[in-house]
Amino acid sequence: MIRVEKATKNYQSGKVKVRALDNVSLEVKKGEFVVLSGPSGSGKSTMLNVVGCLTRITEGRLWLADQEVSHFPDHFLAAVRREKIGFIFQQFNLLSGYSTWENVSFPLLPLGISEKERRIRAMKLLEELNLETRADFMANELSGGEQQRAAIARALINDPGIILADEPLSNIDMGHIRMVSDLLGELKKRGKTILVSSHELQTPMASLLDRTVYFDSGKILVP
Amino acid sequence: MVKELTPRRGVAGIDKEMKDIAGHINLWLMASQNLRRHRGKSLAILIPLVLVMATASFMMFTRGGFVKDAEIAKGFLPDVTVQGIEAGRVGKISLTIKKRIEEIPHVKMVIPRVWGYLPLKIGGVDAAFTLMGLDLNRPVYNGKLPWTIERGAFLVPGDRRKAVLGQGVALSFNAGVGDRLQIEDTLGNKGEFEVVGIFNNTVQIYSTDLILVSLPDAGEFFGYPKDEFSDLLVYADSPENADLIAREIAGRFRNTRVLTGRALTDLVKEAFGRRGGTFQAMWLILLETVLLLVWAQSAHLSVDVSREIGILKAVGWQTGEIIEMRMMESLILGLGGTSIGILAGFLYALLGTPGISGYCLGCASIYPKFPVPVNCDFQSIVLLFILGVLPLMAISAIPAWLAGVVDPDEAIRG
Repeated sequence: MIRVEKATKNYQSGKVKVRALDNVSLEVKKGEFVVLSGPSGSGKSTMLNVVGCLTRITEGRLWLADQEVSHFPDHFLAAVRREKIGFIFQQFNLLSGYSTWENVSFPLLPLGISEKERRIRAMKLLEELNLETRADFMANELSGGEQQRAAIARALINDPGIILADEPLSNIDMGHIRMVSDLLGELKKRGKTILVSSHELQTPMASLLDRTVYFDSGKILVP
Repeated sequence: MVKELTPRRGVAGIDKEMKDIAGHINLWLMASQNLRRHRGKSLAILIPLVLVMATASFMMFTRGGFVKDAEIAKGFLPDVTVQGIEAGRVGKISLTIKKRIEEIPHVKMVIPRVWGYLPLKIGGVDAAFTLMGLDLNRPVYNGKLPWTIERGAFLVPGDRRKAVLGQGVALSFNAGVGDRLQIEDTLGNKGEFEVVGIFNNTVQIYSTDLILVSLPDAGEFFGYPKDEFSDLLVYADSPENADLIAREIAGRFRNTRVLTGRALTDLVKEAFGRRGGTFQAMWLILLETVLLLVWAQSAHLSVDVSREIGILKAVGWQTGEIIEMRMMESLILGLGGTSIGILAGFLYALLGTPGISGYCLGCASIYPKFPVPVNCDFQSIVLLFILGVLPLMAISAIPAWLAGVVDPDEAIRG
């Protein structure tokens, strides 16, 4: 389902060249729940960004659903993100000034789906996440936990096969950690392939995991 | 087996096309919503754009009005007008010259005219009208009168101390048919005329400015000897011969100024065109300022806007869709600003361009107290939309593209 082969990712930070991923290989099977763990700056978020086609690897190859996408042009990568991937950001990344349901439905907007249909689909997900009463609230009026759930709803709106979540539990309170963990477990049951980054070694999602991959200095320590 | 090479457009094809159109409409709606969300930034572009387009509009509409008047007037002008020159300035022209011009080949008729400006004070305001004396036996050759009698009647041969006024003049003097008009200009010329008719504004240049009297009355008013006139209207047997006659007159009579009908029209156009040109230069500077503003706003994306673009790309938006949305924002601003600007400019022109008409358009000396002529046609409106929208779109295109091609990850991190 996901295959990364000898991936290297270099960033240019001012005049300094940073190697965020160093010849890393990883394979995640369909329906697997894998946590990428490691300290800050170890390369786990970069790996998620690479798999999520948010950034390109400098060297190496990437397969998603048996299709090599590492050399796809930008518009194909956008289509991959739209159709195959749901990304849950650490900072939620909702657009302020838009309502919760609008934020959830953004991926559908260029597809020509009517406002009515978009709202119906967004509301269905918001109900599943106990957020229907906040559907018309502006994104910036939501609490941290609500924003996280709205971001999860947005990631699921296109029913993607791959869910990528960058530190999904780090910015929410204890009450919501369980809810998000349960939701990820539910998604695993539905056959979604889930890749989550977490800097905590003892993650509350431990019981759901198939395996943990440890990162340090851009390398995988335990394959 | 025959393989079908051209795919037929079935229901699925039509459905996809409809979805594509709906997708574009969704982007439009989001673009307009974005403008509302960033209303401060939108207004910072919209307000200067409205001002610039209002300026361009009233300039174009008023200039168009003058030019249109001049074009209409051209139809009533003689083929050649001859004025006398005295000491290098326009002076009188004699009956002798009239008779000699009549002898030139292809000249069909020569009609003398006496006219002059009437500098007056009306209600303490400086105004200038034109008093024109016509040969009432032949007021205009071919019966092509540029004026239509609105009330009363036109002058008839033998009329003395009678006048026909342009509608605007009648309004200025608050005069009606049957009233007696006493004129005393600031140069000391005096006269009293009975108003027998009022003509309408087919050509504003005439109707807001002209007082028509008989030739001898005008001569007396301006102190002309009986055998001298202000100018001679020369009609050719064919309009094609106008230039030939003009050259012949200019060659034979050194102390004359010879103007063809076309040259007179061009003169009017040029007078307003030149003044308009000054304003156009100012307008271009204003437009440049707006475009620089748009560039500055679009080129240096704020962290928030950059982040938003990154998020949209991350959730699957194509680069083209981001660019389209950004371009639509510019298009909406351009169309909105231009529409409001055109409306504002049109209203300002209708009101007579208060405050600047005397300085920039030169209207005050011709149309005291009168609104400038306004010509708002489809062509001008299309041109204004091109001027208002295209530069804005062009200047937004590069920043929109730059915003669209940024890596989502990079854009989100700002």
